[in-house]
Amino acid sequence: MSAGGQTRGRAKTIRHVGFLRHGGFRWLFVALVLCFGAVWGYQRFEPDPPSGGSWYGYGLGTVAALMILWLAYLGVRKRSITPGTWTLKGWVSAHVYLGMALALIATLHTAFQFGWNLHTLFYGLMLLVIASGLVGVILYVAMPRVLSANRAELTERQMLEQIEALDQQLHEAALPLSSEAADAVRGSIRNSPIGGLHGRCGTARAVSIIERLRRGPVPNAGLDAVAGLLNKKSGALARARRHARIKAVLQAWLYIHVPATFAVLAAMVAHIVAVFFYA
Amino acid sequence: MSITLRQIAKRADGSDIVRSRRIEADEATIGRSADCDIVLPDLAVAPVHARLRISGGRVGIVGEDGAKFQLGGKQVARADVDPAKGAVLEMGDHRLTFEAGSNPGEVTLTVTRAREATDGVAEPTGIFSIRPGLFGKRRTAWVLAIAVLLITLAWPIAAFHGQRTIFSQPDAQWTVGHLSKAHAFLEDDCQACHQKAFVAVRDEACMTCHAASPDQAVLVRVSNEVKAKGSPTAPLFIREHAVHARLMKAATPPKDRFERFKAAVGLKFGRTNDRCVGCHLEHKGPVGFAPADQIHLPLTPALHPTDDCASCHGQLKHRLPDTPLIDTPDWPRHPDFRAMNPATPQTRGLNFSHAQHLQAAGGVARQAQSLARYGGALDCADCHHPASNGPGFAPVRMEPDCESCHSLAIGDAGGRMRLPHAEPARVIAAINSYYTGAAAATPLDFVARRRPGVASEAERASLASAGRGSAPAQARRAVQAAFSPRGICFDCHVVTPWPDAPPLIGKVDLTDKPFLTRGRFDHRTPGHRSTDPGALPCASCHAAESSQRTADLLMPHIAVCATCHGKRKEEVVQAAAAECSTCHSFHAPAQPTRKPDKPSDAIRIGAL
Repeated sequence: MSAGGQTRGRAKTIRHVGFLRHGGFRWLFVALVLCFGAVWGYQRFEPDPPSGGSWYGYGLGTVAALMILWLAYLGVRKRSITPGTWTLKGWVSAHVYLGMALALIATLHTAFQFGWNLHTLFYGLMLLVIASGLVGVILYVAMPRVLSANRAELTERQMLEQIEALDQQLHEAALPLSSEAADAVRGSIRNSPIGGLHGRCGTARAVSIIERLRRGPVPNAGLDAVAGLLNKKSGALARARRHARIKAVLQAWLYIHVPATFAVLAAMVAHIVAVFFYA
Repeated sequence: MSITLRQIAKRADGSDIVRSRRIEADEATIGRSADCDIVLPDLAVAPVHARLRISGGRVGIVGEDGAKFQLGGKQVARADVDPAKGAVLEMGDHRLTFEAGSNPGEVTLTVTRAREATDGVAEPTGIFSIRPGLFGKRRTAWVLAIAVLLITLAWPIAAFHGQRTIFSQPDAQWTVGHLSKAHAFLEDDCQACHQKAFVAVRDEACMTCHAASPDQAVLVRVSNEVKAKGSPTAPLFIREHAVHARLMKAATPPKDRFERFKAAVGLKFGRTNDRCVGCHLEHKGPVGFAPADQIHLPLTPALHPTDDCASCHGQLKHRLPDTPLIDTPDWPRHPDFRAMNPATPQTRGLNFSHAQHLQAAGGVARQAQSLARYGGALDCADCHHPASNGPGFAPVRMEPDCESCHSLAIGDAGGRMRLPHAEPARVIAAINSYYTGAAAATPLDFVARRRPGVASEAERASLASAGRGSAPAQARRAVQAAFSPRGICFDCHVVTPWPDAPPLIGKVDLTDKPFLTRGRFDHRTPGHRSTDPGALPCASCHAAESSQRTADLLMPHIAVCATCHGKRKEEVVQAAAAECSTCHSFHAPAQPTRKPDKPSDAIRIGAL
């Protein structure tokens, strides 16, 4: 629909359309209509003092609860990629815009009454989910460009293979060298992790040791070769690490977004039960 | 002596390549350097790492320059092994296995790589994804969700069902806002009002404290209990505005389909508007993160009437045809006052004319002028005194208020007595005893006044008759005179014809019961007091100066109220409000609505 010329199938070049622009901002429009409608209704129908317990408050609460369930369902939905009107991209687009609309609708449902209680906890958790989701959206818009610029057309496997190839060359090249140089190279091969928390990188250590040895009085072609290889490896490692870091940033927000979503669902159950328990 | 060296390497496809070679010597060097007899392409191995020597069927291995290797899991610098028994050494990433050769004295040494020189290519997803360890998304999600459910839901519900031993008040986290000051003492006791799970607050809960029992002792007990629990005031005891069924019938029906839907849903969930909480909303205090004692809380629950007065009373006759109340859509159309109490008497058993008593000139005025107590024509305050405790006036009583003119004295020059103001039988007995001498003439301790004119005539008749005949006959004539026209009793009281039967005095009913049952005028209110400067005189409300009949109620016209009520300050200095609630409260229609900033400590049931 968005790409146009659908009658001739996929023969035509389909320009990539991001999830934000999906369907000509269809879901942005839906979210805005929802928000303006909710605010209009709040001014029109909400009694004074406002409360989540008025009929309009209950209405907002019900809509918000259904939205939360639907938004959380993305976690299930994303595991099956289906074509058609309800594409996963369309779903994500709706998820993003309706998620932002939820922040407003839920705020109106609170009637701006906050305190140290379960209800405000629920609201706070929900805002945390929405805020982390917003971070995710920003990252998904900004980071892919950075990621592919760094990648320089390499796949992740190719990055690792490159480093492995350099390791093998280093191993061969270092065999004739002195124990100190050999140990340094061995440190580079064995101890140059890409991701995770690590201490000083073996390759960095090896570079400085080999440099020191090269400054010795006797020129050594073997050392020069190893130094060249280590420099190449340093570059490859730096690229791989940058890649890992960007990917980690792209994933990290989900480590808040997803667990907090579960907490929100639990808090929603507690909120609804509590509200009707002490009706 | 020889060593058979078997070096095993892996092909890319995983199969082994075995290269065999004989070393015809008793000694051999092992190391990374290509010059060594046994070359280990291993960066963890020194260029010349160790030397081995075969002698007497045993193999001795000595680390070069103290270089170490592993034997049986231990780091050693030298070893002496029996190849017949088999021995395994580890040097760097390589494993060296010694075995006895096929000929005696020969040794087979198998060299394999225990660990690849490089780590190989790992799976990219394992490298380029977050490895969260303990804090995986799924695990964190479940832990958080279960923690939230346990703390915010299971714990309070367990506490509700009696497991109060685990800490206290976990249900406090369910509160949606502070209570008003009046109910703040219940803040830690949710179940004072929320008595049943999933059942909306019902009136029974409110009535625990607020029910208007007719028994004053019960009210005092409840007040004391509530105050002991920490309530700032005694509860306000309330009654229903009207019989519930009639109230429901009189209330406006839902206006449209949506209102009907809301009402139906409310009914389904027990959240009807006819409950106390339909109008009195709690938990409406300003919520926030500050403790309750640091924020300004409302004094009483927020009042949100579901209907205003006019919505029922504007067209009450329409829905409740048998109501005695007149429709009152608004203040300008408020009906004039009329007696609402069916017990209001039509006659009062007295012959009394306000007009006669209030005349500026005439007999009454002249009599009053002659008495120091009055010193002039009578006015209202000469007979009507404000009640010591109440909104109105104390009942007018004969002895203090009338007797100074209306004398109860009988007798002649020889003696006088004051008749008791009592039942006819006692009056007759008093007259008899006076004339028969059974009682000594009572010293006169009353002001012996006669009304001018008529009173002296009655006295003359009495004296004239008393002077003749026997004492009993005199007494009989005196009694007859007292209860006859112009007699001492007859002039004020309605006396049934006699003498066939004992005289009957018509029942005097100067009722002190309010005849306005739905509203009460408080004469004490500033602005209502006729003594206040600028206040209206009595006569501006009560047309006493033209009232001839005792039964006249002398109720004012509401137009008089409207001279101040409903006016603006610019129009009238004494301008006052004209809300329904200014004069009528919902739960006590005969009282003005209590001002929320003036909590009453009094148990006000008596005034309801």
